Amino acid sequence: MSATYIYDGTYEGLMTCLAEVLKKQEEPDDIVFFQDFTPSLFSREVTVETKKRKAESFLLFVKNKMGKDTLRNIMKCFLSDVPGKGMMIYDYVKLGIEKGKNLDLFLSDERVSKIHTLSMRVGREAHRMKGLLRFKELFDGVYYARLYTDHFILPLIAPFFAGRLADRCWIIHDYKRSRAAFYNKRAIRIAQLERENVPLLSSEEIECQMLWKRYFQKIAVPGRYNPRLQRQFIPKKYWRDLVEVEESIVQGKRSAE
Amino acid sequence: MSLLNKLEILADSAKYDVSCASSGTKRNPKGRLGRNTPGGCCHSWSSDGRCISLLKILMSNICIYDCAYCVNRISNDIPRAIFTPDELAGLTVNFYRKNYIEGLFLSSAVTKSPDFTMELLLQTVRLLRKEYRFGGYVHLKLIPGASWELIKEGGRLADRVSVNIELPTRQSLALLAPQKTPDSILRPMKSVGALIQAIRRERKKTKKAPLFSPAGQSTQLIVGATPESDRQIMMLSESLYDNMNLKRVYYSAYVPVNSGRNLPSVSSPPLLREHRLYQADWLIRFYGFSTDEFLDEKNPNLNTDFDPKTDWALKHMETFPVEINRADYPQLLRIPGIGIRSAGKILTLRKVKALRFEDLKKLRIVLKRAQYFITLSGRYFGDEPQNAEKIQARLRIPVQDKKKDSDQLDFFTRDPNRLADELSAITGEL
Ligand code: SF4
Repeated sequence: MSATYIYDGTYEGLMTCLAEVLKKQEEPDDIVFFQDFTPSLFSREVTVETKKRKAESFLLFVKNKMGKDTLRNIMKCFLSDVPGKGMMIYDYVKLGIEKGKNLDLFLSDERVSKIHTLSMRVGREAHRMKGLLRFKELFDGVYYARLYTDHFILPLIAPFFAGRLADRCWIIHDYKRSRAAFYNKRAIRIAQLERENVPLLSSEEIECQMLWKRYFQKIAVPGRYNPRLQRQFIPKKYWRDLVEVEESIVQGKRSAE
Repeated sequence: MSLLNKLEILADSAKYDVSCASSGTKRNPKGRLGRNTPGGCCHSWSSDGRCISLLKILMSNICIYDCAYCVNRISNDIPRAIFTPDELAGLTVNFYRKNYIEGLFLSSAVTKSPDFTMELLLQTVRLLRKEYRFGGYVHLKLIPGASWELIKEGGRLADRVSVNIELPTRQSLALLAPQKTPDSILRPMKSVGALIQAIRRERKKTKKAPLFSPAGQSTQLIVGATPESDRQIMMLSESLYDNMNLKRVYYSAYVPVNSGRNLPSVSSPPLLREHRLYQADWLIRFYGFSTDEFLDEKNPNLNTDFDPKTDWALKHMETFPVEINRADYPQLLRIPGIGIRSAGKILTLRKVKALRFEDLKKLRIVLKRAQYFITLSGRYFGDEPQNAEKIQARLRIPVQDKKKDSDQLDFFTRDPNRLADELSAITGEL
């Protein structure tokens, strides 16, 4: 009977898992994060223990055999939040073993295009949040921002903000996943952070928000009013913590939260 | 006057300027605040659907001039305000830290004199760069008539500088902005362009050479306030790209804010025309077209029914169909519906296989227009014969969608299939 392989949810875990599965002759039924696992009568379950060394040498193998772009695609797909990503990455790497450095040229092969599309979506959401993220200054001087993203993009954006806002301590909170990036003016750490009540803001923060909101209203040209176009660019799901629109649109929702 | 009041007044006065996009530059700040996002970045979209990337603001709206089309002209009775450099630099830094903006887009009405105004702008940017060690993006408007020394300093401090031409011909300028001479606009543009190039050459040799407006210079043209044809406008843009090294020309549909003897009476801004101009601009900048190819004396205006590339293709059926498996990059780019991304994908996949029709679909290339202009290994897949009239009928916008000026906004909002059109409205990408 073929098997479902279960990993611990970490990147190293998935890599260890892939390394072991690819060595075998038989196709796996599935490769899943243990939280997503549902037992089945028809599949054996194998829990793969994460081995850092093994994961690293596997990554090196992929890099040498298929190239840096492939590696980056795999990483972004790992950060995505879609069911079945384990098998998608497996299929992709398996084809890569055959095609080597040419792997990413096979754009019309589903095993490649699925990965490319997904990796692009994750990258696009990360890029979008570089713009849409809003820091709020808390009473103690810490800068705090919340995210409600489709994918786990913290590892992609935290280094960017460490360069951009290097002289403040800040927290970027992935609210859906209860994880956060903490920055202390020296290094970034990603760790658990439970959902808490809205923290207390500094008085400067409130003034700054007021200025920004007023600016936002004034800068639109009335003769070109086109809210539908506006929504096309900022899907509603990203409006929740957007200072300039939250009052008017989202307040109802917020208090129901 | 409170900061809030000033902000209101000076944002309100700045809103008509459209040449406002950040494009990442590699300025390595010594300080600890700021880093540019490569490729630029939108932080919000205002209710008119335009990207907000920079704090677009005037230093002052107190003006000594009386340009007919402008809200801030001296003869208008509107609230006036002026920032101090401290106020504006502080505001920029605060907004930047909160990640509302990518940087500052600073312009001004001409207060007292061009040099006086330019000096105020410079004080603000100096504060940002030197005191706050601000490494974010700064786009600085150059004030026509300001002295060359001040303009040069502006170029050293800013990521991009620009002078707005606003009106595309000498006659129109004389009519609507009599106090600005074409010379006072074009001279700094030319000198700045030359300096940008010289510094670029120098920096190729040594990275120590100081930066000078590393993101280039841009300008803006108002469309529809004066009687110029699209051809005249595009010829001007083309020569600005070729001869003055401009990075971008922006087109701004004329929004009537004043009434006046010399001004046209329009009820709403000509947005469709603006959109087509951006598309034409894209043809020139990225697809290797020259204006002469798609606009001539007999047809001096862009077709409103079709985007300019499709329009050109329909008039040049002899160059089609293009064979997807053999065409080079410039040829691929001339196919209606095939843009930079699609052309890139085709070339990539061609390295490992000959493309079939299904492959194009799998590459998610939109074939609505392209199908009539291509073959794959000799086979034609269009659902109409290769005949300009038939294809034209197929691609034409349905009659009920055709717009007079007054409901052009609808053109962009009604049909969900036009999403691609809407998005491209911002860049003109085809
Ligand atoms: S110089 Fe002309 S365009 Fe500029 S603010 Fe004054 S009146 Fe307006």
